[in-house]
Amino acid sequence: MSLVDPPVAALALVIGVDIGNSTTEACIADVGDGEVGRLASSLTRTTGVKGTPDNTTGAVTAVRRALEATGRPAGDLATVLLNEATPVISGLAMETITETIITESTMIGHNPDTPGGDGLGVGMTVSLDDLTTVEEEVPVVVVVGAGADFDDVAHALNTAGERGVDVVAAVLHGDDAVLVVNRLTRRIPVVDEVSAVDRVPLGMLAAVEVAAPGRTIRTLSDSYGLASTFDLDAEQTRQVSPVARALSGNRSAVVVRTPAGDVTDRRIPVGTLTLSGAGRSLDVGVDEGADAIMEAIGRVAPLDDVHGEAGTHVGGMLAKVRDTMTDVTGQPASEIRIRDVLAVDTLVPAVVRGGLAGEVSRENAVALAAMVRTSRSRMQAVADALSDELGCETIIGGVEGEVAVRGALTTPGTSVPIAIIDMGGGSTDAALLDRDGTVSAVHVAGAGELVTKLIDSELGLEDRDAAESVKRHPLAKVESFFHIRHEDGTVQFFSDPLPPHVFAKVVTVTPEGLAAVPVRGPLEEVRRVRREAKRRVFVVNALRALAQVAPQGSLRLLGSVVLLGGSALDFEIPGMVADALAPYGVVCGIGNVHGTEGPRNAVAAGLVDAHAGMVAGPAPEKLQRRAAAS
Amino acid sequence: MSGMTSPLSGVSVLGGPGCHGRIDRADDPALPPAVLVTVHDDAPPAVVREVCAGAEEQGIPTAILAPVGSGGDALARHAAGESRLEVGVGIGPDGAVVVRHALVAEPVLRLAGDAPAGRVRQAGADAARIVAGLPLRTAAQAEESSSS
Repeated sequence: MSLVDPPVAALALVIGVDIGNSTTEACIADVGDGEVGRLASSLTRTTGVKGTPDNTTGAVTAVRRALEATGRPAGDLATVLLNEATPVISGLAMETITETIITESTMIGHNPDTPGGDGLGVGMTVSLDDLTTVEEEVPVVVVVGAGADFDDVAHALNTAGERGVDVVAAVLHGDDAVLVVNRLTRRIPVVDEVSAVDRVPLGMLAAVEVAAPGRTIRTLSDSYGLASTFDLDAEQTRQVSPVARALSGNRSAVVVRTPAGDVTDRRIPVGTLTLSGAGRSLDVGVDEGADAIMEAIGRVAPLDDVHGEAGTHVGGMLAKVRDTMTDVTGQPASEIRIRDVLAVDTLVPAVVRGGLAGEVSRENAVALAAMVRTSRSRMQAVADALSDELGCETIIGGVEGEVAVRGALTTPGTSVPIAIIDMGGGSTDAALLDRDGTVSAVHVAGAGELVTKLIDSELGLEDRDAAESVKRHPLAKVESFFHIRHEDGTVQFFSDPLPPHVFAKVVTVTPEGLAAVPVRGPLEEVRRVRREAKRRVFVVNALRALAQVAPQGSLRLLGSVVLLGGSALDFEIPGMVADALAPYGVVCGIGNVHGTEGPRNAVAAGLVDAHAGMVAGPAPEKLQRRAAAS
Repeated sequence: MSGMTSPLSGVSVLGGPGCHGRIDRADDPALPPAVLVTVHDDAPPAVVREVCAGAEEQGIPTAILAPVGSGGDALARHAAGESRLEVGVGIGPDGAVVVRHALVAEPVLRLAGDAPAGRVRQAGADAARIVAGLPLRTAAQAEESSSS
């Protein structure tokens, strides 16, 4: 390589291996007399929990791949350099803290694709079978069960109308409201696709409202509209106002007036978190939401430990994190402390209890990421296993944060003081190298996995792979068999027709092609959820972590911030973090280790550089010039 | 039903109020754009009814076109080619249903002759949904069942 000066001393083949939470990276180089000739790098998935003997398999894979790339035999390898990796275990949990319950089947508020007719109809509920026995001039709302044919239904309604029965509306099980309305002699509002239509109470006063296309209902979604419709007094009106609120925004709705019917927004008690730190202990209810939890954490900072209530999701998650760490390190659970928690408010679609048409309401939930770290590393076991496997010496060296900063500092254009943010899967790490050469590092809970989880639950995907795809790739809408519109509005044409299963769908644009996102909502909604999830995890955590390492806690005193790790390769996260840091006058950008490696490989390359005797510190200009010249 | 006439084409209505009935010329300027359904003479009437009902529920008009060819796919190809909306449905003698888009070489979806009425209605709805630019229900289901 051009970086290598003519060899003056014997060169040794050295490989730096960085075992991270999710990836193991290796950087192989010829080292001699303080000169480093980097030959190749490799990347593989970390096996087992970082800092445990299980890592050996992944480390060996990374070493072999790097060797393969150089074409050198394994016997040439003189030294393997390992980072001093300490286990970081993170966990995620989510608690839904509100629920909507409909009692006595008081209302149906949903958006079938194609309701029929429009307007408002108020009358007694009667089944289709009983329609023939209804007295004349009584306003009725006909309730039609499963399996009825649209021609038969229309015929029955028309016949009743001719007999003098005042048919004002209908509620159907099947998806045929338009078909029925098209065959009626008198146009009435019809709501269809009511899956539990058999549970609609009969003989009760009911109102059916369908709005014209592009509009939402006006009367049943308004408290006084309901009062006028059902002739309610002030007290009754106050009682039904939750119904009105629950129905707002729908294109069609049914409200049945039952003696004790109600719609309740209930808060679900989901236990408390016990936070300890700064010599005191604080209880906070998880159902108080993320802001209250984060505020409480701030009051006990620095956090010593967190406990959750047994039998709750959050309590179970915290216990599991502790147990995993016990399994990994052999430390007793009582000695393991949860050092950081990130709480995020989120809205999750949930099926309404007591709903008749599979109604979904957006319920409040709190997502929690927790992280535990231990100083007890078992890297020596990994090092011994690696030596046996590869037949060469293995050296453990370098504190993670320090080595990463050293690697980041080889990014052209950086200078001391320099901070890094390593955005990984389970935790977000920050480190700062100050002018005096001291390095401070911090790990905070919440990273890529939490983003995936938020996307998954907020979009109601229940499909981790689909959520991961939404996180990683830009969106597009398939607008015809031959063109898509990307989320930025640009249009792309395809010569070969796109497959029917993506037609008119919101898709992710992946290197393997278009993948349909299983959502009904518009692209804008998916995009908003994706960006919000990234902002609430990565932007919040970047600021939170940097504030902990920044001189006097002030972001303004940070010179430059280099983004590292897999999420620094994301198409929008680096921009979002840079935007958030811009007001503090911080230069923020994606790491480009040695001017060639991008945000990857900072630690592996840093290990090799350190081994070659290069001094980390305030004068890396020589290194940077070399990098820029290569 | 057969006694009703369409105000548009003046011919007897086969497919209900959402259908312009049987037409002889797809390029009749008096006929609004429609998903054309080419029906083999021996095709089961119940299949025709469900296809047209599916499209009608979606609010897209249909019209029945005299058959050219015999297989469901050839009929669909003809219907799609003649339709001003570029979407056509072919119904074969055995009740097999094929939905086509004029510009797409392969059928968008096809159903065997013994498909349940609900699936046939959905195929008609999907033909309409191509016009409306809405995701297809049949295709999504096929994808789900093949991936699971």
